[in-house]
Amino acid sequence: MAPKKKTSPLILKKEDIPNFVSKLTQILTVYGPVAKKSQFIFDTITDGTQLRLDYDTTILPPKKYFIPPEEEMVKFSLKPELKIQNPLDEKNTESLWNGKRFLIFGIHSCDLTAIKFHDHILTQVYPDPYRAQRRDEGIIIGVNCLTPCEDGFCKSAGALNTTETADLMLTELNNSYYVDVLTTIGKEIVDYCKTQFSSATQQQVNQVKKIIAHRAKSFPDPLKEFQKLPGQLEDSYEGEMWNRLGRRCFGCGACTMVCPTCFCFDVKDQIELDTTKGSRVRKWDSCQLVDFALVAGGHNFRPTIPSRVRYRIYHKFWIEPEQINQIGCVGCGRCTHTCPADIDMIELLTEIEKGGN
Amino acid sequence: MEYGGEYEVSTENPKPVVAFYGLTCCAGCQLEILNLEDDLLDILGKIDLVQFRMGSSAKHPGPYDVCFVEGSVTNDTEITLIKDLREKSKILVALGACATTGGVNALRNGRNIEELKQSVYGDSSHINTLPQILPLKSYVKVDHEIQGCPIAGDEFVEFLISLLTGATPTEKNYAVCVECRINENICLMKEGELCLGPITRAGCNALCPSVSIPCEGCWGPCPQANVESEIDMLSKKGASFDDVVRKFRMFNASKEDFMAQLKRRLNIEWL
Ligand code: SF4
Ligand code: SF4
Ligand code: SF4
Ligand code: SF4
Ligand code: SF4
Repeated sequence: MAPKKKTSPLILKKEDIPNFVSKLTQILTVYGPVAKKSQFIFDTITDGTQLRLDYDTTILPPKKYFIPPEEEMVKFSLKPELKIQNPLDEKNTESLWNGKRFLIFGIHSCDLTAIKFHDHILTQVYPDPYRAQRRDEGIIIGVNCLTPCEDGFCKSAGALNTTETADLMLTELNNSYYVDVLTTIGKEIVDYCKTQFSSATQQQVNQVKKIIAHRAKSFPDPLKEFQKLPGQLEDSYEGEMWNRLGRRCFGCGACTMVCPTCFCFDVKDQIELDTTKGSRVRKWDSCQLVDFALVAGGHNFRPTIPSRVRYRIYHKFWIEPEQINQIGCVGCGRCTHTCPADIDMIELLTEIEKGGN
Repeated sequence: MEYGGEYEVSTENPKPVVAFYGLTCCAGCQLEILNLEDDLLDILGKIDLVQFRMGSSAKHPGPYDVCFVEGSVTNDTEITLIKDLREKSKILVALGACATTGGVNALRNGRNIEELKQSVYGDSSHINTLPQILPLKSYVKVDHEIQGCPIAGDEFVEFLISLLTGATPTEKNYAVCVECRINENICLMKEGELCLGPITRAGCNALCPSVSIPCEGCWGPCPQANVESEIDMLSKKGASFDDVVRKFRMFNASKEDFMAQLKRRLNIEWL
């Protein structure tokens, strides 16, 4: 998140990527897309040849490096007396985090947009110091998608052209990657591996402009009214569509687990078997689960599956835009891709556009 | 006294007196506890384990602070035993699928028991067995259930810790899919396989899908299990009527609610 600095674009040959990555792994923990059978996941890269920049989408978004599925918030001891150790407290010598910087290589525009979304909502509305620390530690190399993925609708969601949260942004150009250097940290990274980069020629600059312009036209745009959805939802609250969806939905929460913008968590104190110490941990939670809106005294604000399906959509498309003027969906398509009930986000949003009945 | 909490255990012994009993089953759940090698010594330091068939032949007549019971009630003797254990125990915990859902023992439910006995044992006049397998809680009050076939050691330890600290034990009231997504498995349902994960209670850390095997439902149905949608989705993957019935009955044939929904949906009487 360092200030922007204009540096002229560079060229990195594809054949040099493994060396570049391997050199990075000497100073940083590097994460990037790797193959998992027929699909892809973000994982630790130990050898540059593992990196699969040709990936379409990943099962979980890179969010997991900023908000891990499970994380310790504080450690405590109960005996001989209550002592609390907060990792965010600088006086603490035994930090829960290694403090080492990490780099995520190859994030697509949808996920860059989701990081931007979290940068807003998790500072302005729900300040999250744990994420903020990781966000400061993280360096991001983005890569432009040139082929649309199966279930995505990033163009409709206005996420296709985001480069904002990246330190370096790559665009595939024949046998090379064209590299935009977007921040001082990005500049430091290329300086560290100087020999692998060359300057882009004017011709290459023009070629990339053309590629990006062509992409803007050729990518699918299934939801032309996307930005109007918050207004349309005002009329759909009692729509029959929620009952119809609710009959199909399992309330399994898979859709929110894989969503790059979801940030809900549950907090639990875990005491160790010796009963003298423990830790307070937070774990990903989901508004689709039956206990999510259960409060003390036993009242559940959303006791049925239809009420929870509806809530996910209202939270993303109505509440969040009210809070930070940004819709909480970047069109990555992961929820569609993963839903065991085959509930399709594009179809669902199209129904709302049609009035929700 | 540090243990107790909502169960109000009170005893002069600083450590709770704990016994394990096995009814009809493979004893896999007790074995799972024996497998907790890293924690076993700590556990033994915290409880007074008076009966544990897997580790020692010692017997103890009771009473017990906590009694863990694995296995299903399959005959009259076991009905008497479980009632006696209930009397003698402040806290009674059902351990594993056989005790919580009836498990695979309940596959006999809905079949003609005489014919089954005949086909398995031939002359079966000496076999004393009940026609229906029901969860333990159908016979006696059960204070807590630990699910799975077999149980997961970490869920057992977690329960023990809540017991020792007086905390309310937590329940994972959600489906296997949550754990499966966090493990970043390829979704088998999406690959066209028949997975019960969306309607099965989490707790196994998505054990089967994590090794590419579809869930068979051994943790029992999760709350609000959407049985209708599961049947629709399985059919969409090409499952036959028999496939669906087999899949649902595997571990949950004694779950009345669950089976009733299946029967309603498939419009059948038997099972
Ligand atoms: S709601 Fe679905 S499409 Fe939108 S960002 Fe989340 S996972 Fe992606
Ligand atoms: S409320 Fe639901 S949709 Fe909104 S961020 Fe939380 S899990 Fe995601
Ligand atoms: S993944 Fe599908 S079935 Fe599961 S909660 Fe989300 S919409 Fe419902
Ligand atoms: S493989 Fe099964 S348990 Fe895993 S997400 Fe898919 S349906 Fe759910
Ligand atoms: S995945 Fe399903 S069948 Fe396998 S252990 Fe878990 S609950 Fe049991």
